[in-house]
Amino acid sequence: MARNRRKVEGEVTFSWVFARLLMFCILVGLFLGLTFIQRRNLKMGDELKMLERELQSAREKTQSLRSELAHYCTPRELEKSMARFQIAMTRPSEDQIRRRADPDASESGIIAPRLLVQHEPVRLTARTP
Amino acid sequence: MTVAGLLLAGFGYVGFRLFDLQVTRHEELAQEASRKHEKKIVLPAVRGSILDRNENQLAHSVAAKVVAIDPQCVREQDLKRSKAGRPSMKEELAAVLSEQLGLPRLEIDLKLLDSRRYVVLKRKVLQEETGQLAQILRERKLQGVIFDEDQVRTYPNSALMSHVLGYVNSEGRGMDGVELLMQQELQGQNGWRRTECDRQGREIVVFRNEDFSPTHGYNVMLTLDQVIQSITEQELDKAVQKCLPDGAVAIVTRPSTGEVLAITSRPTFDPMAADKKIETLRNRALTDMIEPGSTYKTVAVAAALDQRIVTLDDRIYCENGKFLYAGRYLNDHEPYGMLTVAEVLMHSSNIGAAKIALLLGKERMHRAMLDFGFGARTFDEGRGRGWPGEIRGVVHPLRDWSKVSITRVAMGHEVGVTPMQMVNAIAAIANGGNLMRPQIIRRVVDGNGRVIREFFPQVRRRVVDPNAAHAMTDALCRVVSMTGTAQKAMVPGFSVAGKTGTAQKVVNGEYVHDQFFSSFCGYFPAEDPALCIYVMFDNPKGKEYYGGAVAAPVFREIAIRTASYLNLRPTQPIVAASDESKGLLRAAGKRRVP
Repeated sequence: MARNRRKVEGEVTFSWVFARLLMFCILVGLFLGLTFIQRRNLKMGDELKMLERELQSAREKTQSLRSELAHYCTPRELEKSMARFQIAMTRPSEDQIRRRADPDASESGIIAPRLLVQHEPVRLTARTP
Repeated sequence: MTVAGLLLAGFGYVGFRLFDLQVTRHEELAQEASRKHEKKIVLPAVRGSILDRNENQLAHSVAAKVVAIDPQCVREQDLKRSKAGRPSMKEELAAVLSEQLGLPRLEIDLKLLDSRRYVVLKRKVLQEETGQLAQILRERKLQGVIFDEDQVRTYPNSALMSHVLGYVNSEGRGMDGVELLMQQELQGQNGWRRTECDRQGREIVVFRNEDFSPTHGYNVMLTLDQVIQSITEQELDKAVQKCLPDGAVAIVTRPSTGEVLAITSRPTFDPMAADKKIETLRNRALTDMIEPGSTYKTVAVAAALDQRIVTLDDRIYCENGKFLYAGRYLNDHEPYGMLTVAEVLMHSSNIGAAKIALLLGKERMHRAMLDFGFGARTFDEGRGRGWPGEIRGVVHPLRDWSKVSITRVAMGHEVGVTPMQMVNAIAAIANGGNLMRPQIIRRVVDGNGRVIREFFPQVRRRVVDPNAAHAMTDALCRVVSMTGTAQKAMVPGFSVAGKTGTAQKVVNGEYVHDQFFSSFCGYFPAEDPALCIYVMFDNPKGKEYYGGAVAAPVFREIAIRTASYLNLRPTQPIVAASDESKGLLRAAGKRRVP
């Protein structure tokens, strides 16, 4: 029986080739797709890292500027600046004092003596050199 | 057969090895792999800032770097260079690091010999310096230097307010003052990131597993005002240069709310300095106990007025300056006969104050002392939380009082108080009789300005009724008059109430006659007090040592400048302020005032 069996060679049909070609293309496509996605991920990761670095650097810059501003706002620095620009705090002279009736005075019109003077305590006077 | 057998054995071995690696040693090898590739990066939280009441920065953190080296990496690079016939990198690297970081060359050479892969060279290196160093390293292609995140705590005002702000240690942890008290709120919570790295140790972002952002510390806003603090420190420093005391304290508060606007203690320190002298760290306003002297007479008189035992016009016989009680003499600095209760304060008569205390009785005197907050921490919030290092002072229990104690306590001896307790007690009289809890922390806010916690003024208890408090103000105004002991505390345009104090110091358990605590505590405008100021000098040198001569002028200068700054409306006509002040000073200079 075995001797009579006819050896059948595998036939290479179009569909067989197409199926395998399709399979190959799919696999290559998948590989390329995955590679592309991976490259893209890596690129995005690098971009993210760069943005994080930029954010960090911006934060540090803000901190540094805040620190500088805080330094310039200290009374010591303000006094130094005032001295540099020759700005002095002086008491007002008599003509600079406005006297007005006390708004809290009683109905009889008597003005409380202690409130007679409305005093503007300090004025900034710029002395030009 | 043999070939088949060998193949089978070979496959068998491979199978066994696979099983061993993938199953038996899976855990161990997986850990090894993750150890090599996985990395946990700590994302440090930025410590919160400390702000004054006008949101000026008093303390804040700025980004800095830890500069470290990897000696193994340096050795590997050196080996590569030597193979290529190039000069050693070690020498060049050590020279650059020494120059840029300001470290001794020998120290760097020793660290380069270390066997570890991470050796810290310098911490808290500012961004500008590290930027320059990194650029040089890039240009010269030097490897093995690591820059890690760090922070440096900065105090823009340097030593200003240092006793209130405190300082942080090298790990950025609060060690004193607000930095320690509000450590929990200020420190924040570090974040972390679990990720994978390549062979060079660079992060592969796509393999990030966990990413928790840090929660930055909250900002703490104080009740203090940096301008008032600056004024106070400047005026105190001027006086310190003149009278060279061992120590000095000045406190400015708002009597109506208990808010502290300025606290100054001398000697002082720079919170950013690496070597701080231990004796300068003490905030004497809260940690030092003094015998208050005559300022304490206000307690005895206020309690007697409150109990309606005396009125301001009642007359007390002051024994012409020498009073024998329980076998011990009590003296006045000048002999007085009959004085009204108001005059007892005005002339600061010890005998008068002692007799008022005797009328009050020791139980009520003792009660009044406790009610005014003496013998207890002013910032005590219970459960052990309070201002770091604040002391209670000493109010002896009644059973320990001798027969003469009541006469001594009335004039501010045999009692130990802190300057903060004293100013708080006087502020209670100023505001009409309410003892306030002193307030230094105003609110806690987050980075976006959202209020997390707010602190409001708190009345501890009523210590005297408003009538007694007003009567006291009336009497204390006479102290700050041309006939009182505190002429030098008079402020043009304002009525001032206050009391001077000069107490002998106790050295080795005995009162000494050449060392004193000189103080003045006052408030203004007396009609509606806006500010209460306390000034104290510990052992002022020179001819002048009375509180009225040493401390009162400092009060005056602080008051004038602070009133201008706060734009307080004068309550009295100002008549040629400068001439008046000159006249005042001339008159005061002729008299010895206690």
